[in-house]
Amino acid sequence: MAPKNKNPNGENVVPEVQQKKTQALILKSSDGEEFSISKSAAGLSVAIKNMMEDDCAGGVIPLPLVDGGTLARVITYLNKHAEDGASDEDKRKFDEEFLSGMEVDVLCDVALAGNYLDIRGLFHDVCQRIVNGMKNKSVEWVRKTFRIESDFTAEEEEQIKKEYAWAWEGVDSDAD
Amino acid sequence: MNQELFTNLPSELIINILSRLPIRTIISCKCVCKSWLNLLDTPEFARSHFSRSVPGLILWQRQRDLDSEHFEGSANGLVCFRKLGQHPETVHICNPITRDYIQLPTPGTIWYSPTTVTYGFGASKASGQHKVVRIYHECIRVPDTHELLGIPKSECWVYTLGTGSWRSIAPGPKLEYNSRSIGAFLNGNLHWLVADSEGFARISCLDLETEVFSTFSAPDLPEMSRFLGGLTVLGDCLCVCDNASDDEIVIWLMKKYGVEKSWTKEFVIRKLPDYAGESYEVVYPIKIFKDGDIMMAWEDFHLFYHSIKNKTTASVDIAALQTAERGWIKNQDPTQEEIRVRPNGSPGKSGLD
Repeated sequence: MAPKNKNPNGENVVPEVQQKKTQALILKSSDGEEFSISKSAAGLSVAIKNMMEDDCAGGVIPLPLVDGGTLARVITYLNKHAEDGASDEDKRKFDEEFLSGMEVDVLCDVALAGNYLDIRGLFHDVCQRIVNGMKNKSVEWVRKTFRIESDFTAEEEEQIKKEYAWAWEGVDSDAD
Repeated sequence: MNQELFTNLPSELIINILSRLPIRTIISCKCVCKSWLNLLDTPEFARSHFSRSVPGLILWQRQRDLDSEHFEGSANGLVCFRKLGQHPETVHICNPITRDYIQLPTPGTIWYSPTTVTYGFGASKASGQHKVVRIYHECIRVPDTHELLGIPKSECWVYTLGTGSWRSIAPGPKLEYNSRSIGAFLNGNLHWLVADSEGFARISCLDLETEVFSTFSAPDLPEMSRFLGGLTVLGDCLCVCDNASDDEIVIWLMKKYGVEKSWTKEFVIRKLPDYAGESYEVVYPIKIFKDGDIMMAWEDFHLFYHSIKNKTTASVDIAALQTAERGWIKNQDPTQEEIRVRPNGSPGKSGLD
């Protein structure tokens, strides 16, 4: 039970903090998890903002393409970026730590969500993170990391490598 | 959890991600699997990668034999070269970033020196098709004075990349083209500095979409016979640079594209003492920097950097830049290299197929 506050006239009022909390939305993930988020944080997603403006959601916005784990991460990001008083430097530091702990498969999920929810900064940073990890890595490393099985014959692969022989100078030979 | 990570991602998203990679990694990604190879060869991928590239400059070393290749223009990172000498009119289009190239089929008639043709290379604005243009105006002259008597025959041929053959188009008004000039590519149009029948300087313009020629005014130049220069693109402007004076290089810009009255004598640069006096070399402004400084090439021989603020001109040491094999400046990494093709290369072969 919320504590009952009375104004000088003896009427019940909702405290200011609680009033801010009521400015909230529920985001529902593909696996049915519900997350509360402030409207200001949710508005950083262009897609959610549009849904809020259309008012088609009635307070609960279903996001059938984002699973709960990913949505939790996205909300953490949005909350930080909507935080009052967080400087650009704070946000940069946060972004760096936020992404550095993620495995490639998580990064891919967040990229997909960032694209779908149209959160430009997040999407850009995640894509750049994926790409930074790939630079100068061997073909085997890329296949292993992205769990891709080659459908080339040995001859076909050899042919491409021959065609672009110069591109393999200086590539990490270590598959890890 | 063991499925491929990218299978969930729509192809435009994969393109978005992979087009951020440096060119070497992109090429090694072509070996990952067939679907990646196909994706990396699409025009969409080439466009996405190109849009992230920073413009650069390309230097090439001409071989000192009769069959040397001459630069005929660049568009969207592709460069056009033409052979002179023993095998004239052998044209190559290459992507120096990926080192892919193609040789165009021989056009119908080949004209040997001294009969000359003028070339241009660019891409149409709406459809984005790359086209090589070859113009021939047969000029009858007074033997001693070279004065133009008439132009009895005109031809223009166009090769659209991907079609495999040359087509003849209407050659436009009869004008005197200079075989040394290179078509200046701007706004989807090619431009050449030409002389009309009275000997006055004009700009011949070919719309690469409609393939229709038009003509507009050149800046107020001295007589063409006393003019030494060419037409290029500097910044977003057509640029005429005159090197006929003994001690000054004069640079004209068409400040508003297509507006004839907007030709402005923008820069007058004093020549370095070693270069003052009578000269026979054309000067090409190459790049104007944010602070207004200009990089220029003196024919094919020297590079100069002119500071507008300090009014100083300095020679650029090309030898120090020529560290790469066969004269190519190393440009494997489009995101890091300072010296690159202008504008930058797109990695897909698609533009060349």
